[in-house]
Amino acid sequence: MKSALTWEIIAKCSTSKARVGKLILPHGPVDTPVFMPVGTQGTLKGITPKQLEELGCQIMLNNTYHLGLKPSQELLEQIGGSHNFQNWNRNLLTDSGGFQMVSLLKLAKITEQGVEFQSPHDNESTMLLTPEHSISLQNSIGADIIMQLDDVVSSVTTGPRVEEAMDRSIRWLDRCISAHKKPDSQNLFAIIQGGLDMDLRKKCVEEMVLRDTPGYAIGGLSGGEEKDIFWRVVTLCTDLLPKNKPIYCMGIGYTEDLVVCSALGVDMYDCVFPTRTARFGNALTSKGSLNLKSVKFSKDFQPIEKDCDCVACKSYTRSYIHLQTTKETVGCHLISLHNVAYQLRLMRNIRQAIIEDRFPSFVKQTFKDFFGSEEKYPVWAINALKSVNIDLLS
Amino acid sequence: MSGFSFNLLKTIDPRFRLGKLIFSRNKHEKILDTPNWFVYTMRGSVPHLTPDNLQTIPVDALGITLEHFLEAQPPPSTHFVGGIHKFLNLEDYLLFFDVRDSGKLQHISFNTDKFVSVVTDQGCRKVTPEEYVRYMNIYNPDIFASMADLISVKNPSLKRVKKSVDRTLNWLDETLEKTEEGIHVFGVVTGHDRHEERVRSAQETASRNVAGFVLNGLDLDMTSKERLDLMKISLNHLPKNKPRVAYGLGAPGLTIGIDIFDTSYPSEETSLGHGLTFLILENGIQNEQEKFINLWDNKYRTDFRPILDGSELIKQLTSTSKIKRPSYKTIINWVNTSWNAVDMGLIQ
Repeated sequence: MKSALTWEIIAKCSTSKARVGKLILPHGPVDTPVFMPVGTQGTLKGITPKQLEELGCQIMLNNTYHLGLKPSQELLEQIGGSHNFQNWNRNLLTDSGGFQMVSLLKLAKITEQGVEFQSPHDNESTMLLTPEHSISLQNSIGADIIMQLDDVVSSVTTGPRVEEAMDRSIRWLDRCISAHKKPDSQNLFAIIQGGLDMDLRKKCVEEMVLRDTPGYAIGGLSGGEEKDIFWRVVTLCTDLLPKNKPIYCMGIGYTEDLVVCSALGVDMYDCVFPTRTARFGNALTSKGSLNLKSVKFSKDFQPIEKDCDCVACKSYTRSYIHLQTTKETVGCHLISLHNVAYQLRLMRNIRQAIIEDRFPSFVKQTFKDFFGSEEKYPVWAINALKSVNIDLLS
Repeated sequence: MSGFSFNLLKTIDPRFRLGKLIFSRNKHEKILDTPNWFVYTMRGSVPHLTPDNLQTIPVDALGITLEHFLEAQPPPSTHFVGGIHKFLNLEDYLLFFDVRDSGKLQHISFNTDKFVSVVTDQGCRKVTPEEYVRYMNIYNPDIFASMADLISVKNPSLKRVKKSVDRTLNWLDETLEKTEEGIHVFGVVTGHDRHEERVRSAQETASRNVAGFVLNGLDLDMTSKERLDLMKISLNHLPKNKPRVAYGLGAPGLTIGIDIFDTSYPSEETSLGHGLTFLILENGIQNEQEKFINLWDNKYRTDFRPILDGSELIKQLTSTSKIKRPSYKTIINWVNTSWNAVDMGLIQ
């Protein structure tokens, strides 16, 4: 199908499947592997678009379900899309809205037609989100990358429901492709489903690749499944998906997950974690996270992270942020700024290590800093990295 | 006093005062044109504004409240080497300290000859004048108000009012004696609603070596007109050449000879979702727009104009070509502050 992006691999790790790419989208370039912070309602909570730009963020995520409710499709049409509405001139990606229906709403029912759910307005009537409706909403929002509506089942579900959801996701992809009105300015990504079943994943990839969408996402993970199965699904998908398209693993945001998935050949990630955890007073650092609410930081006059050049670290001590955090919004804002800076820096460092072909040693150092000692390394991560020839324990 | 002076440039009808407060910050001389205001802070930060956002707003002076730091005593920040400007990352700003929140006076417990009771998130705390001065000597702000025995009960007896004046003067003496060179003390003028006590407090405070005065209207449970009348009594007994700060007055304070105001007003309006939209023109009349727009009102859902329309603003400026500069600047500050904060507030 039509594509409104170009993507070029500019460096490959000679050991693992990691790669660095340059993705050109309608609102500018995106260096991959990339972490996309989540601005659910058309804003990254507490951060102005200018600050986000200054942090070097090239692409942000908005949630279709929330924007569809408020400000509404009609209003987004009037103002010419979400970029205009939030004064963000770089790239946006929107999800399909399906995940929120299932995760946020009670009594969501999935039929061949779409996702039927209880109206959040009156809690009585039912509403229906179809693939066509999702794409229409996303066309109005106008994000540079839009996602197909998929049939999401919990990643711990087993049995025939998983296969049904996978098959239905393929049928819904076809309906999304036909409904997509702006393939010249918006890139529709397919979402690979199939639960934790390797055969179903394989079948899903085969079918979806035939549709030739501009990029592919790995969906249905990060739902509490065994991490040792999670990585096997990811690596199967990156093996099977075409090498000339970007691959997006949905809902990934922890440091170790980003490093491992990049080694497995994933190019894009999103997660609410860094900004959500910031609002609870948790600051991310390369040596693990700090809960700045804790009294032990009240007289700690170091910055959150020594070499970080974000405004929180350049200007304030942990003691000051401790004074503000969870009491004044400035505390949330400062930690959010730091956490976004941390995620973007991690991705920049991953890319640089791949470009300089020292990714394996970078991975080892990152794990050493982050976990402190080898006993604390997650077994799944050791296994996953071993599968791409990076031996964490050597 | 080194690096600190107040020049009264012009007075009209002795009540309207135009002046300059000159202070030294980061080895640079800085000027606070008066009338002006101390930006309201919570825990030493301007609500909702990270420092890069604060820098986009042309403000020079902030009011900081010790009460917000007193959950633990001594406050952990007193262990920080380098002073409060650095700790709060406000090195370019004039910082004015007081014990109690200038935006609201919450009754918590009684004061005694030895201490003032203050409100923290963890409940009531006591602070003595000796501790206050010790913290100020460590923090090294530009100015602080001496500790005052404010009366937070209604209709106090004359005896109580006299005690308040006496305590406040005693604490001022102790403060002036112990404050280190380079930190400037403003004396707090009290006297509550008693004419003769207000005169006594003003005259006694004026006879001490203070750099300026603070008039606190927050303990006066009355209309702003009545507050103004009481403050006027005090002002008549203060020297003209020292700056006067007042809490709990709006713009009418300009008409009685106040130089600097505390202003929690923009923050309060922000927390109600109000974006300020008014200007004060040369003739003292407000522009035709509403004072503010309530951005939580659903009717703004489809309004794609900015809070204060720039072109509208220019039209008004050019049609009268005479807008009072300080007012204009102040209002723009407020609008900006509100905009940023409302933006943040709505997101929450």
